Amino acid sequence: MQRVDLFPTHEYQGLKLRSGRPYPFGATVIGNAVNFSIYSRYATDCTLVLFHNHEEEPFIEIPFFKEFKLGNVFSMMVFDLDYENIEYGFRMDGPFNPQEGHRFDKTKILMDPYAKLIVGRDVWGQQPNWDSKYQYRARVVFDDFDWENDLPLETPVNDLVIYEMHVRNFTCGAGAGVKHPGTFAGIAEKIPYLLELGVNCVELMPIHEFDEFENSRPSPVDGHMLYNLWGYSNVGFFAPKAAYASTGRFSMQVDELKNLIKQLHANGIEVILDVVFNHTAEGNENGPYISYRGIDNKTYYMLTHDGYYFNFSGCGNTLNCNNPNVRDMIVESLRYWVTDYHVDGFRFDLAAILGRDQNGYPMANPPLLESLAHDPILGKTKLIAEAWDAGGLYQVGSFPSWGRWAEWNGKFRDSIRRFIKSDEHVLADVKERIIGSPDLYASQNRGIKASVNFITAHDGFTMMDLVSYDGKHNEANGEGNRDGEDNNNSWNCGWEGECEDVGINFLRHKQIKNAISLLMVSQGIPMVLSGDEMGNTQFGNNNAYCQDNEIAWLDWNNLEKNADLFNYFKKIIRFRRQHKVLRYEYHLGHNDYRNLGYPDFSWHGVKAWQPWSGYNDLTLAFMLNGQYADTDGVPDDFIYVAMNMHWDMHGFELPQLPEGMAWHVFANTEMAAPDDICEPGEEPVVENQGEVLVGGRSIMILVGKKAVK
Amino acid sequence: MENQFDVKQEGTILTIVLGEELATANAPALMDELNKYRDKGVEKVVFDATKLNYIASSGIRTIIFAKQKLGSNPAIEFVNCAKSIYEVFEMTGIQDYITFVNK
Repeated sequence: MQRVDLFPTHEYQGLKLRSGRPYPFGATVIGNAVNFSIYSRYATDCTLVLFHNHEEEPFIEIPFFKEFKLGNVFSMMVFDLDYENIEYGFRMDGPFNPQEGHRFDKTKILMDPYAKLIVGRDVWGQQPNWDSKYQYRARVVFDDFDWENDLPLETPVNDLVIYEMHVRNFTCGAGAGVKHPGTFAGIAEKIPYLLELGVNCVELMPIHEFDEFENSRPSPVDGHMLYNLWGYSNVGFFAPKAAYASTGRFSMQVDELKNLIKQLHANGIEVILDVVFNHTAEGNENGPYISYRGIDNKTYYMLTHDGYYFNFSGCGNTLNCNNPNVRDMIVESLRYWVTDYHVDGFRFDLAAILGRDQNGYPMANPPLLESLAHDPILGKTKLIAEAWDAGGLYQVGSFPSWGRWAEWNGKFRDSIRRFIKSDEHVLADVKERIIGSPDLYASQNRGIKASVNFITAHDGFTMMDLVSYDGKHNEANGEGNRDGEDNNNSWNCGWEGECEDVGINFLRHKQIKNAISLLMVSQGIPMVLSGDEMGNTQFGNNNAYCQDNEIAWLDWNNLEKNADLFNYFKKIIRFRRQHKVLRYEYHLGHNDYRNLGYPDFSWHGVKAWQPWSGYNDLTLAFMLNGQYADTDGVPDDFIYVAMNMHWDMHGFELPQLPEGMAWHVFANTEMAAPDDICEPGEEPVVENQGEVLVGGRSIMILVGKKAVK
Repeated sequence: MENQFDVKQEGTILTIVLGEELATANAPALMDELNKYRDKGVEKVVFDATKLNYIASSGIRTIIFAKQKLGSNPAIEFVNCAKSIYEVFEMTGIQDYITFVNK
């Protein structure tokens, strides 16, 4: 049966047209036509501009006839287009009155906000034609893909071990050994590595189309080019970055990314996207016209009463997230990544902005966040907020969540960093963090699963640099070392930077093992920064957003050099994944509420059952009762963790286990590899069941289970 | 002509000799042609890619179409596939259900 409404009714310069479907927005193939639809509240006229691929001049500009507009939506169908070989844009006419918030300019060709494929930056770092009047071009995309049986994995959030990575940094560096460095295909080549490491979720730093040439400049230090490497600057919310695909030069980035996700899923690895809805790449009033400014400035941006751009993002403009139409765009973007790319979750950059109203004031019940928390398609999608912004709104623990949002727990990062470098007066805070931050998340019953714990992330030092530098060294960024966080809670272990001293390097490795141990045995969702497992260094640069070179790229030769670290990381990750008692969803009772003989969780000190800590508040232990975390009726083991962040060795009295069980040692960061950690499940029995000696600045992890003969 | 293709069935094997390109100019026509061979007992589809030097998204979809629509899960073979074309298959994930043969 043929549809009776799929034939042209108009003609313009040889092309056949019809009034389009207002919904969906963007460019959609319907039969032998392409439906173009775009919303603008304040535009008076719109023209569709079509180019043959890569040509500078359009081959036709079609005005939207009066009958092609419904409400505030312009839509038309164009028949018999060779849609794989055209690029499209719009001219919007309307008032230019910045004080009123309008900046229409019909001399500009604008990119579709709903563009699903964007060309113009197809190969990373390849200089575009700066004189081109239409730089970022939208194209029509084949949205079919053979997913076979793939769907988002719906791994329980408390079972995740997240690996934060950057598409280029992951495989561009020395020794990566991939055929397609710096691309989605390159990541796919490293799936066996990810499986060996044991992570089950990758969090990709922004993969929406962005401009790597934004703020590009030669470094004043040595002249090498600085780029927008990290990509926190959106050009389009529906399209993957072409230059992140090896097939980007053929405009096949959509298929390449889908294939990566399909392969990750086939190997049990979820995909979380870092999304940037707080601002766009258009900057402030001095920035370029790419899309939103020219399409509907007053709708898309938070503006002051006299038409300037609010700057809560620190990047020139702020997306007007709680405007109902922008809100719809954000919801549709996220739905699109889930339905069409099978993405498992999103981490929202500067998410506090999403809770500001159109005048910039924080709201109690932000409609956007409520929509996302209750959205039917996003019902099982992970939602993670970086719960602060650059305008001073800090919402860690108070982010409006409706029980669905998790947060990057910045307090975990700060407490643990201070603890491992032996700061005093931090113990009370550390205890809260280890048990999943109930002070932040128990009150709204958000549970432990609201807490994404991390010690390092793309912002700040790598783990190796955290233990090698007291201060930041960002001179290579060309901002006089003024950029980047000053308050790093780092300690260089006795020397600033790389050194040959065996003792210092041993201590650094031990401190890294201490850090990753605390991350993996704490309640909450752990996030690991890519490269920490091989001791990756950025040479003290804690803000490498612009360093598309060896500073930010992972050096895979470190895998051999720091083999002990990789070995430790993969075993402790495996340990966490095998022990359900480390992965509670909701906060602990701290008592024996099921009358099993031991509480679900208990604090200890150097004396068992006595949690007060002498020694500058730097000794602490805890025990988890595995009987509270059974799988199909089979209880987990007891786990005991002794943390001695004091500089002297101390004996820790061990709590007595039930009859027939004995303590076995899984890890001891005081020991040199290979005695620092063993294969989970093969732990040797501890000789003295009454006490263990924990070295200065060390952690010991014991497992209580049936005595191994 | 550079984009002409040639389709022939011999027994259970369907052979398609491709031209220099497989893209929107000819991929839809090839799909229409392949459609005629549904339920004709095809068990193997052989693409002769000796001349092929460019494949677009639409071309890739033609190959998936052949796998999905002709017979019950026929074997797909690519003969004399250029390295650049193979790499595109690899990066977009369809190399798994193709056997590559050089003659």
